[in-house]
Amino acid sequence: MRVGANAGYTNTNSNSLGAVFATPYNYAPIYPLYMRDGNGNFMYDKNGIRYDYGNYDMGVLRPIDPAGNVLQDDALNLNHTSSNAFNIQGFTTIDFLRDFHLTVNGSVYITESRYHGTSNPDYGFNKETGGFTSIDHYRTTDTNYQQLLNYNRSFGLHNVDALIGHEYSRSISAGINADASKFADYNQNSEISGTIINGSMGSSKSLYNVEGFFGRAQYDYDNRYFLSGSYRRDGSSRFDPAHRWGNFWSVGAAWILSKEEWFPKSKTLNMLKYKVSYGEQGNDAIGDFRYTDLYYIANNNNEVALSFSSKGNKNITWETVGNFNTGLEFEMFNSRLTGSVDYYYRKTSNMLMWFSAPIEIGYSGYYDNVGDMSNTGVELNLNADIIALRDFSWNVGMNLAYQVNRIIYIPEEKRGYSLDGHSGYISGDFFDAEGLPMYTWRLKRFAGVNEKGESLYYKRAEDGSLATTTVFSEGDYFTCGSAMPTLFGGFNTTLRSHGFELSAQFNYSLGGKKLDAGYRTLLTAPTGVAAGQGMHRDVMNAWTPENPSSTIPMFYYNDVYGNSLTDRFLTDASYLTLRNLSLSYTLPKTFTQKFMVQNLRLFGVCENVAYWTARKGFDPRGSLTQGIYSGWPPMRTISGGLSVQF
Amino acid sequence: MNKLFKNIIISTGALALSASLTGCLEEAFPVNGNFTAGQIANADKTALAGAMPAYLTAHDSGAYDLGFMSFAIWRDAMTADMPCSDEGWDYFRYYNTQISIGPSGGIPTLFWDRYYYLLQRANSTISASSTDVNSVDAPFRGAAHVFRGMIYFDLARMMEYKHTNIEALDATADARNIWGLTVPIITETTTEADARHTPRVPFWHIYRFIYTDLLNAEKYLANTHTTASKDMPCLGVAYGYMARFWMELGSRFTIYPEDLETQIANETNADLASLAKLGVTSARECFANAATYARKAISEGFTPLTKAQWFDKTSGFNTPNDSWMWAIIISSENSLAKSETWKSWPSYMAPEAAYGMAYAPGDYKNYRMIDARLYGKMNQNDWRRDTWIDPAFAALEDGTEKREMFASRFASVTALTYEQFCQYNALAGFKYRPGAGNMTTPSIGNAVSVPTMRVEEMYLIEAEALAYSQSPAAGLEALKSFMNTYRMAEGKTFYTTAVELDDVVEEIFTQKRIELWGEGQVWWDYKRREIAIERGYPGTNHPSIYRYNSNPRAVAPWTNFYIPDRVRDLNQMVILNPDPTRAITTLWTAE
Repeated sequence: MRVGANAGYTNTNSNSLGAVFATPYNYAPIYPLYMRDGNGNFMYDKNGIRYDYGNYDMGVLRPIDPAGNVLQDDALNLNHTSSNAFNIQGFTTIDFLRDFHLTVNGSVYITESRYHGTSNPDYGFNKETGGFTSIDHYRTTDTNYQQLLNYNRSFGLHNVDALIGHEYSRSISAGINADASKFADYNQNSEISGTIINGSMGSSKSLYNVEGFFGRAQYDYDNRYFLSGSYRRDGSSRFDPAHRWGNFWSVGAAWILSKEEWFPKSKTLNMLKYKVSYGEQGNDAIGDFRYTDLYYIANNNNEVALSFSSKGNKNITWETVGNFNTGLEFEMFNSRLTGSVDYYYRKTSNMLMWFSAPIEIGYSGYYDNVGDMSNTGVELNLNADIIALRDFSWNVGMNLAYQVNRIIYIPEEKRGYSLDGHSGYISGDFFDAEGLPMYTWRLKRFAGVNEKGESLYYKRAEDGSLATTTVFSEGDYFTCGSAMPTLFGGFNTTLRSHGFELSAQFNYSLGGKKLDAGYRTLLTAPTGVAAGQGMHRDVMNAWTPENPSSTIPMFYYNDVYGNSLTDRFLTDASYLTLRNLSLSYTLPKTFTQKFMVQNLRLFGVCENVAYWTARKGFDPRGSLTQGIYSGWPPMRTISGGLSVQF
Repeated sequence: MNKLFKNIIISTGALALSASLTGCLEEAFPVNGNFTAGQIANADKTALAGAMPAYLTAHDSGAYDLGFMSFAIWRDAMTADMPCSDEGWDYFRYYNTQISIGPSGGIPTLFWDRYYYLLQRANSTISASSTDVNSVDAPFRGAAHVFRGMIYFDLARMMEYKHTNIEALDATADARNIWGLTVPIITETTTEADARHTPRVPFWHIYRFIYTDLLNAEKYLANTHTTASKDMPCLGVAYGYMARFWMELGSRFTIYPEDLETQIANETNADLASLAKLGVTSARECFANAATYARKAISEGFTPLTKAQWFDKTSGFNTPNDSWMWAIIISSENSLAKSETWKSWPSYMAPEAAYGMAYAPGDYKNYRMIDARLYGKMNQNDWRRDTWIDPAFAALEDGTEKREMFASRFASVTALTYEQFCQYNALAGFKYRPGAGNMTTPSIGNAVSVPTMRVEEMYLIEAEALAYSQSPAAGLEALKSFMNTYRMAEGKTFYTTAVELDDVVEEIFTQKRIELWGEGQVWWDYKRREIAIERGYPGTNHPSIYRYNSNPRAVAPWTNFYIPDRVRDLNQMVILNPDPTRAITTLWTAE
């Protein structure tokens, strides 16, 4: 019998900032940050230099973001989270009957987190309320228990390993929150008890639990032939009791050909392995209680009211990803070149996705098993030690995946809409249809600029041909390509010489179209009282009678539709990034050992060094479908250090 | 020490062993602000029916969304009657600038979604309650029929495309053949699959549907003459809706006699056999019905506001009283009172709320005024005049005369000091007050009620209906009776030169605009009567970028609501209205 345990504790504190990146994008660069007096001098108040909030109390109204100043807000307001995470894991293994092992694992993770946000009483929207504070505390307790019965034994060259097990995971979350306003003295006490007017408060609990029964068997002969199979049955509290359990299985086989007698012994191809497998995995990541209608507890003039809150779908069940994979692993030139080639076919059955409903029925949609999707692809991994001398080495590695994504099945009752020869359903700006990739855009199409500088949109004429219109609402919808990339991967290289090491890592993605929302926003004309926005330099190249060949429509006050959302703002999402660049120097051991130091290494690392995209300024790494705009791009960090080992 | 450590490890391992043997999947139930449908299967029906009035105050993060009470602001802002002091902080500006009101804007969605989500609550209440008129459910069922009648009546009027006399829009309406189309009808028995294939029904269908609901409301509310609080409709409200409904039909059939023929032809439409027949053959009968129902509503025991009630500094227009037939009520625990204090009815509508957007001495200065031309039409002896700052007062320099005028006329109207009051411009309206008159504490000041139907409207409906159904003189008599009894200073008589029908109706409309200022009701009259909305004229007090005048003898294009594209995306039977965005491009400017 063996027992073991380990425990850990982490404390984190963070203070997040307001839209400090968005603001310089969004504001025209004509608005002052600070208030100045008639002579151009800074003005001061109790908080120091007075910032311009762009509201009537400070002079004139700034049409963009009035009553706001993100820098002063960041300096005065709290947006603070402090978290404690504890974890403890224990196990007991009992060995019996020579080849059997019973292992029991138990783990508990407890996270508790306290958020404290404030809005100061001196400026902005909470000036009138005397300042605002909110506290949000939650604690999650995740427990996991496993009982595993393992058998392994070798009979000569036959190796057998079998496992049956049971697993139970439980996540309980409890939260409490409250807010209040009107501080006695904001600078000294910004807690709720430091205020006099109570706002809203609440507390809640939740439970999510999954249970699984599983078995797995592995067999190999002489480490040459491998066979494996597994089966598991999982139940999740996220589904109705009648649809709670899902069955998942896998089989696999591998053969190391290079271990065969007949395999030619050569340094050119010194290892070759063939493998084939099929395995399934379940997914229930849709949030709790999606299988039942929910009613929220409303206050109706201080009487309890139960009001419909969301539609449930009793029939939803596990989404299953089945992965068929076959490929070769190889080592060549005395293992200086290693790599693998894989073909895969991944089928996602019963995709769990949001399915929109007409609002008229009383809800906007629900989660449903909407259909099946496939990802078919080839993956290639290569790693080569091109130069491997004692004092100089050069290693290069690369991986790439070519993938074709298709929605292959949508049930008939969900195929209510047809477009460009495909039938399926509309999901926001996307069209989910059989035969099309996921994230296929359904947008109106931009047809250029007419002789008056107006935007044109395509519409289908009666006879099916394409016509154009200047009226945005008359434009028709088209499928406009998918946001999914077709080829992606990375490559890296490392150079080593005399203790120096230089390495670089690149990532890339080719294909797919993502929305360049930032560009569109920066081209948008001021309308009504919405003015004072930042503008893209392309505005200077917009259509004018003197610049009639421009493809950018005329820019004028109250132009509502000139830069509407169309395929014009779908941008090639291909990119290449230099993710990581590092340089280090390890001092010679012969030297450092004089100081009893085994290893002394100096290093500098730069993360997110650079990126190149199809359109400069467009950063497609934002989300699956959009570029980054007014958010935080992956931060470029430069760090250096000294590593010492005694 | 070593032993202790060993013991800890052993006991942790043993604990893992023992705890793991009890694991078993457990059914989860929400313990937050929600119940599952199963958990409330036997819930009190009062709570389910309460979802209807509760939903009237449901609201999202947008500053312009206070739920249904903000629709009153939206509608009045859309007319010419309630200009704001400054467009900068006007959250309700979109229909004034004609921007964001079409396919790219989120505003049409706000209206569409709120009404249909409310419908879900009405349909649920109908299907959950007994059909027996003697059941304890009857008041809920009756209320649900009022709610549903209101929903479809509002939606039909908002979404039906009416002539704008703007060539591009009317031609599009022709091309799409959408004349007379209202909205899809979803009942308590409609399935989601059906909802995906439900067309906008024509007016003659929805009228009979609404009428059936209102008849049912009458039936189930027969014994509900008052409700515990004014947030649930009583019989008088059902009558009030009947009165509004028949006015709409009377005007429509007057303007479009061919629609009357279509309506009559469909009385025997077999597809509508389950719906009540209207039983009218002329516009005049519709107006007669309106007059009858208005009188029935009045007879339910409601009385017009007295001057003292109107100007009450603590309870004026924030607390239900005998004049109010139906109201939206914000209790002090409602998030519209407790959270985001600047986002509330008093913040936008009560200029005395010092924490609000409408407080002129504060930082935002966005208060509401009465249209200058409308104010000019008010009788000199109408005591309602002092609801708005007299331009004569605003024009005076600070001094004895001005201070005396404040003391004699406005000190009894407002709790503001003379200095604070002077920061408001001419025609600023002081009709609405923060809760309990509390100007400084949002949690108290924001707890207000907002009327959605007052008996005064019934008197004015009755007058107009009589003018059409009997004679202009009969209408005028009713108007004079109302004005002299309830709205004129003591010893003063209401005077008007109106004699002919059009003039009498116009005079009644003027009084309605004054009486119901800010209540969001006259918008329906603008659209019903197909009259122009004019914000640009010499002496206008509308913000300069709002000064659009719609075409005469047609509805303003922005009163034909755009149906959100999403509706058509998920229900392709729906044909959309033309986009009203910036349909009128000429901004009125002074010569």
